Amino acid sequence: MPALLNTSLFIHREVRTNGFNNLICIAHPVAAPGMYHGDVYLQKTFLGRFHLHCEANSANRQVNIDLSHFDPLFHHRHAHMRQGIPGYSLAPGGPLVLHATEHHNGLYVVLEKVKEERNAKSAGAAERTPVPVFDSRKLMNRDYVMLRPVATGDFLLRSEAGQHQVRVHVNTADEGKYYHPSKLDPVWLRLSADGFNESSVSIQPFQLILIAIEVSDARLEFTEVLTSSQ
Amino acid sequence: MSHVQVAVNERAFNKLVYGAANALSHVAPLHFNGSLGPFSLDLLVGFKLIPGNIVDLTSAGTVVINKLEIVYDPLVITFGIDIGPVVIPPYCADILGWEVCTPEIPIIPTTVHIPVPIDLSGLVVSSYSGEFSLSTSLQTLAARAGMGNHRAHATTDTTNEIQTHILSVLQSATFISLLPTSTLTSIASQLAALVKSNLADKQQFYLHEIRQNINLIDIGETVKNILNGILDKVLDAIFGWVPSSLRDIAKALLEPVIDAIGFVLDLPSNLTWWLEGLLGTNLGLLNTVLGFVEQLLGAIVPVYQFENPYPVIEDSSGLIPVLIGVEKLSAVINDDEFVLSTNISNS
Repeated sequence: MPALLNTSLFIHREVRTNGFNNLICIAHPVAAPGMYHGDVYLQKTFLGRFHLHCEANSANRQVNIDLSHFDPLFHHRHAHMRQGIPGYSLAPGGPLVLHATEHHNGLYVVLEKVKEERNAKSAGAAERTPVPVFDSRKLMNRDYVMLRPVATGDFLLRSEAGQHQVRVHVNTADEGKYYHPSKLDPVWLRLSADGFNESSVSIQPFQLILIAIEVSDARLEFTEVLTSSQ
Repeated sequence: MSHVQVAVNERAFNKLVYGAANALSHVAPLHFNGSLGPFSLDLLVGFKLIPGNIVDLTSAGTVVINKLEIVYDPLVITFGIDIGPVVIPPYCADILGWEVCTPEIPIIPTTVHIPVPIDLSGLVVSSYSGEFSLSTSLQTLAARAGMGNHRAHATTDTTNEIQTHILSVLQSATFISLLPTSTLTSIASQLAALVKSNLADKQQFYLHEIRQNINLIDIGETVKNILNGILDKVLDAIFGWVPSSLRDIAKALLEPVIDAIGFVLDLPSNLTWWLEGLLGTNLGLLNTVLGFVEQLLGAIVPVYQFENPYPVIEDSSGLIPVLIGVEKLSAVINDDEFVLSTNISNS
């Protein structure tokens, strides 16, 4: 019998935003209307490109992009993806939410805005010049990171730039009983220039931690604290 | 012309009735389908009869079968359930100036059918009881045509007449007729082989159901333990590969699904009643068994039959057999015996 559960859910214990996996989602608001393209990388390998049209009349107030879909192996396993990556449309100010449903680790996206400029040499023709606007390896003010730790134990959530950190204790079950994630309120954190607004939090596996980024060029890492017995 | 009386005592008649009812054990295992809440049920069942003194002849002229024990072997109930897709639903919050939702996280990405076979072969027994009246009739096969008595006696029945008759009986019987046509044809073929002999006319005695009932005998601890383990087997099928350290976490993710399954499989303390309901109401097995016994004894397998004319001396030395016609046959049952009375004549 094939595995019933999504086996990728239980692979990762740690994650870094400069090359992430399915433990986190990154939400980046796209404010300015225009054409964008996003290049998706797995570690240093270019996986593919998506196109995003940010326009006032778009009905989409949020775009979720599953970066696992850019893996050729994923295409092989999922027939519906063989049609290729679709273009996306988003209302200005809406978040672009990057996530992964499968095992991939080391994912990042570089988003570029395509500017059309008149070319003086060829009258009437427009030249498209990409301008980098977002790199998921360098989180920006107003970005959000949504973290769902899976494994139990003690972890550190660190901001690499400011050396700020939060101790995260992921509880083992009370008498063998864990709770469905929908029954657990998320934990809200804020990363500002002064650091995190909490020094420690205690959660259950799969409980959501929502981290508001209020600094620029931020990188987060979530790593396990190994005890001497481990 | 002479008058002859033949009496069969209760013990001998018990053997005749058991022999006829035992045709049930010659029926190849049957498939039944049903449902239980979100579960599909598939039942593979065969029958074995336990010999015993089951027959009581009554002064009212009826035959009572008491506590005929039927063992279900094989008895494999397969609980099937379709699960999925299951996701961790989005969490939506007002951030960035408007509502943002986390993407769904697929836990079980697609619908998967999980079959969980529960093997109770030889472990479940039911007790059958019934009361019957007796009738006699003359079977004349069309294949005999104008054949004389001696030739009919010597000619093996290779026709499909009896099988066709049995099939029509099964097709018209309540509950049994619900089985697939191919199954009924197969059963008719198996039972016909038990009844066929030669083309001679047969005087046959059938038992006609007046009342009957069937229930499960209290099931043993082994069966109770197996039934109480159904939910664990379902969970094993879902979480088989998950490391034990993560299993409780994985269970929490599927909590709504597991709760729904657990609700259905929240077995009562009286598991005999529960299993009886499952086999009876959900799968229709017990009514089918009742239907089979009724039709087997009433129209398919005679408790007793003899050729008419009756071969009083068989062909043993190159001579033709001696056949004697049986006339004015009457059959009576009293407290102690089954009594046949007849006049005989030269055939």
